[in-house]
Amino acid sequence: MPREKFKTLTEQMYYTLMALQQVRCGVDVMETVRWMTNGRIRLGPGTLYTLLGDFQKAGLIEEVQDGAGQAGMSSGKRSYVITAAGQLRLMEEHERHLTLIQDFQKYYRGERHEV
Amino acid sequence: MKYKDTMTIRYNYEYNELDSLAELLEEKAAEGWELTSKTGASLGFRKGRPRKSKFSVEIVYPDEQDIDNEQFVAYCRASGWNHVFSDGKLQIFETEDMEAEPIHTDPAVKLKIIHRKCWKSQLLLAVLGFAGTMAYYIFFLKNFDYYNLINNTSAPIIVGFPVLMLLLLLLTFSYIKWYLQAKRAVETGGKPVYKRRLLSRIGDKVLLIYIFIGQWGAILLNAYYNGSKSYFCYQVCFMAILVILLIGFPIVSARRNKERRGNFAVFMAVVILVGVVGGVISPLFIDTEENIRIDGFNEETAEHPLPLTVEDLGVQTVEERERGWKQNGSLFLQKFSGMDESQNEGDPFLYYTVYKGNMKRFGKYVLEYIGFSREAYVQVDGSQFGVMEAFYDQEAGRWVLISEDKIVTMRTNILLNEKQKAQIGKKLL
Repeated sequence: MPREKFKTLTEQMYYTLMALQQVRCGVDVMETVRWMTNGRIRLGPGTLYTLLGDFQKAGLIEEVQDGAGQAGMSSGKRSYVITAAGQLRLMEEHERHLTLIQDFQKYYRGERHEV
Repeated sequence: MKYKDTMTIRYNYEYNELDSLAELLEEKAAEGWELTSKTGASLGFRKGRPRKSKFSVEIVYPDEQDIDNEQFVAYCRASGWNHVFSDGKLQIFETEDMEAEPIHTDPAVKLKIIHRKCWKSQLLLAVLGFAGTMAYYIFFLKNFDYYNLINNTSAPIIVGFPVLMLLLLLLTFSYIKWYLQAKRAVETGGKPVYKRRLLSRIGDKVLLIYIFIGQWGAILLNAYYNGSKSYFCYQVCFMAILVILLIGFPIVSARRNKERRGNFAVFMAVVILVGVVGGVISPLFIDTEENIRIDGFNEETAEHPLPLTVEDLGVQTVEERERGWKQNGSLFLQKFSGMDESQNEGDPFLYYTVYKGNMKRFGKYVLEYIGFSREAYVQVDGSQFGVMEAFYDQEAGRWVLISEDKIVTMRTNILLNEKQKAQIGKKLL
């Protein structure tokens, strides 16, 4: 059975969605992800470009028309922001991570679950 | 090919071997060569500044709003990568910052892009390889005849064809194996290898040898023996199509690039022109049939005396006879045909053709050209004619005489004695 696209997010996907909690252009997303992870996660331009395209097709983000009045940005620069569906997906991923942590903490305490 | 300030090299690669192409560009950059053009596997360079830099060759699938890849290039520039060259979906970037982030940092994303580009062409190779192998088995192997093979001017094609089909299938299996390994690497946290594989390097050479030696050699021989302009034209056009495939699909897929579209139209015009001109002109040098280089044909007597007539053999004739001769030639062969006959059935007649090879090494192919088969003839004493070998088909009244530089085929109803044989040898050989 083929895995549903974005059923689980890689770290790069996860932090990209996190960075797009605010309207940002692609270049800013790269910088934001590096800042958020203290340099641990590197988002290459090719990876970012592909992810933004895939997220947009999946409806997790949407493009925002960027005004030329914003400082430091040339007119026509494309910016994105997360959608409601993207927020939901991000929350699901967050819940999944919490579940992993809780299961680990349970196991670490020695509690066993008979399957 | 290298001139003072420019150089062109041929470097064949698959789309899952782009890191090898990047390494090549890095080597050239260190020597001071800058990439200026790329058409399929042909790379053009210009002499520039030697530098230590990193290259990244990427496949980009732009979205509808980024047809010219501006966004992609902007992202790469922000990461320190300068856009060097575009070739269809292939984008080449360079940076002199050795600490610059790779353009792709997610192995899964990069693998997905590469596979998206590769799988269709691999499927086509597999279909072609399988269909070609089936066709080969049905139309050739089931009726295989070794003797016909070694006497067949299409032998280079026949022998080379299964090698080519096998190569196509091997390339496909090689890709499948690579993809499964790459996928496993991504799933286990590793990185796939995008380097050139041994089979690609070998396959490239085999393909070139088959096309340019096997095919071109077969074209000349086939056209020579068939004497068919249309067949030769077909072969040249077939070769032209293979050339298109060799130099890559970027030209064929130039739908979105206006400049490339113009180049593609010019290229196709050149291909068609080569095919037509080649098909029309080249048989003039190869064809030996009667529509080429006729020096004369005369059915009347006296004006153009034959080198050998029935009377030369001492046979008295009183009836009115028809005599004629015809001469043709080609780059490889000269042919002279003579006839001496009467209208009365049963009267002595003599038909002969003298073949002389212009190039000694082609003389031996004349026997195949005339359809000579040793099984149909009886070998007789050639010394009576003054030749190396002589063969006789009593039933048909045919002779084949082979000397060092000529071959004579002759048909006569005269029972030749020793004196007549010597006369024939003297007159024709």
